[in-house]
Amino acid sequence: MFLFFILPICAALLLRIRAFKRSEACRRALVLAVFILLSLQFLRFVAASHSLPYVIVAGFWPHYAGIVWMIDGISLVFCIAVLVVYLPVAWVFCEAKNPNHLMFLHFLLGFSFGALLSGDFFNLFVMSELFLIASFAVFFSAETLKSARLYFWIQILGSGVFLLAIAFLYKTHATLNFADFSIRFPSQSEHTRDVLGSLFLFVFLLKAGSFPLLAGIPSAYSSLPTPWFAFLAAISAKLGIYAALRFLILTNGEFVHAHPIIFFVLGFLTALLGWIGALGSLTLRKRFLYFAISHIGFFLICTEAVFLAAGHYALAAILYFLPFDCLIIAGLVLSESDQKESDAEEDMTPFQMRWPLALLLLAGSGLPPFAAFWSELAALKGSVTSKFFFASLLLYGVCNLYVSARIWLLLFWETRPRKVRVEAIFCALACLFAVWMGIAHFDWYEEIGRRTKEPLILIKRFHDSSRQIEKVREGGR
Amino acid sequence: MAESTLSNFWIVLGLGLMTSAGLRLVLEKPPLKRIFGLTVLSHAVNIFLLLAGISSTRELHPAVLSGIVPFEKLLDPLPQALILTSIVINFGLLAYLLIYFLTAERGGKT
Repeated sequence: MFLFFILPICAALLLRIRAFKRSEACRRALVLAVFILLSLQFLRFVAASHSLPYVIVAGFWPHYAGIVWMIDGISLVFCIAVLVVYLPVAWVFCEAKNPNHLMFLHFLLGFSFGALLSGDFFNLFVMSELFLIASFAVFFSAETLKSARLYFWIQILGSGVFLLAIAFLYKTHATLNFADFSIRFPSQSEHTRDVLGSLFLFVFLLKAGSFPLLAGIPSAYSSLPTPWFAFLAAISAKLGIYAALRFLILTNGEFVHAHPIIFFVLGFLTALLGWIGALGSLTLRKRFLYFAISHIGFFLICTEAVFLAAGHYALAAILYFLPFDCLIIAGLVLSESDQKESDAEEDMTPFQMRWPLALLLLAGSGLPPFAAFWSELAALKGSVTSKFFFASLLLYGVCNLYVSARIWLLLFWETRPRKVRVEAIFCALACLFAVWMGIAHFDWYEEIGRRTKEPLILIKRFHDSSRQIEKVREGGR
Repeated sequence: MAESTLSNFWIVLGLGLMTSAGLRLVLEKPPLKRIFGLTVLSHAVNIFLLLAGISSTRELHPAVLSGIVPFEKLLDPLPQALILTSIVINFGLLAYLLIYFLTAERGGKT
């Protein structure tokens, strides 16, 4: 499991060597090697998903005193989501003359895996801060700096509040470990739980790009070079959703039960803002970004539904759609690059040029049998007993379909010829895989959702690992 | 015990002053003042972390340097480790912000 963090960092350092700096073929080989090695590791975990979660305690210390790494269904799916976006983006960066882009991408990959596999709040903080600082580095041009000013200040405010929340957590619970936090949380006073929940969820929703904390995101991301835009738009917000989901699962959705409307309202307002932005933006980049933001709204509504209505069905909906959503966003954004090359493609029919875009938009629209449909269906299936959630999810589905259709019409009938990159075609074809997963293997997601919604298994694994270490230590003495 | 409460009072007072000064500076318009305010705020949070480690008023010893001391009399080392890490991260962020500020001053020439 340690490999997930170490391998990308080693690859980033390798890129400082002259051969990798100069040769495009070497860079492509490195990217492929990293992708294949990580994919094989993930496939091993997918094959052994019935025995997840796994816990690894670094440095031979018990879980409460050392650094702990863990992988369960949620972190596995989120890691896969990061990996599937990594390949097309890294492939584009292999062409770039400056190898620093690829180096920073590997750093971001390592830090995002570090955040997703961390077993305590402080490592989660450290890894997300490192991810943030590495992502700030990609804004280093006069134009992007100017447009990202608000984004910087909001994110730095989030970092401060995150550290404050960790200090408050340690003061009240005397632990930062996920398992021990989950045990001690119910015995705290209502005010303590509320303050802790508010502080952590403020930070996680800020990172997820929820309404109204997404203020700086559209102008900041859309000013970036296309591959960076694709990677950050697809991945950055997902880390926030992961952290919020993890926090709520560890606390058995206590905050959502105490304040049942907050996530729903924020999710719906985020989706609404996303739809308005997608319909009203002047540039295609911003349209795609706002389309991605509207999906964040869906994830937030489902997060609330996990604890109030739909249970593991809503969790399965999130887990299933998340990697494909990352692919959809990355594919759409990558397809928007290289307009200069498009002059040579004038003899192509619109359909020849735009079928990957059509496929990506269909996957995100909620039409059967594409990716978003299975996700919305699972969420609806779980919330049949709650009219409120059922109606909201249905409304979400209809609006999402309408917005996708409008973007599709704009893309398909615009007069300007467009060449679609091979990386976007890869994303579109990968979205076809979602059809097969939705039809044949959706029960796998439901099983993962059922297992990971229950924090007791995770707690037991943490304590088992500590007991084993203590036994070995006693044997050594 | 009274002495310990008194020293805690000074720490809390310092924390309050640093937080208010940091917030005041963050709300200023010049970017350099904002950056300075963020630094002060981050140190205030570090002091809060330090306070989080003080769980009782008895005499406590540092975990590493005090020789053979019973476990229950050792100071909790975790907040200190957390503070060290957060100082390093804040330093990185501060360096980035200063370079950002200088770049903006020079009209975007990196």
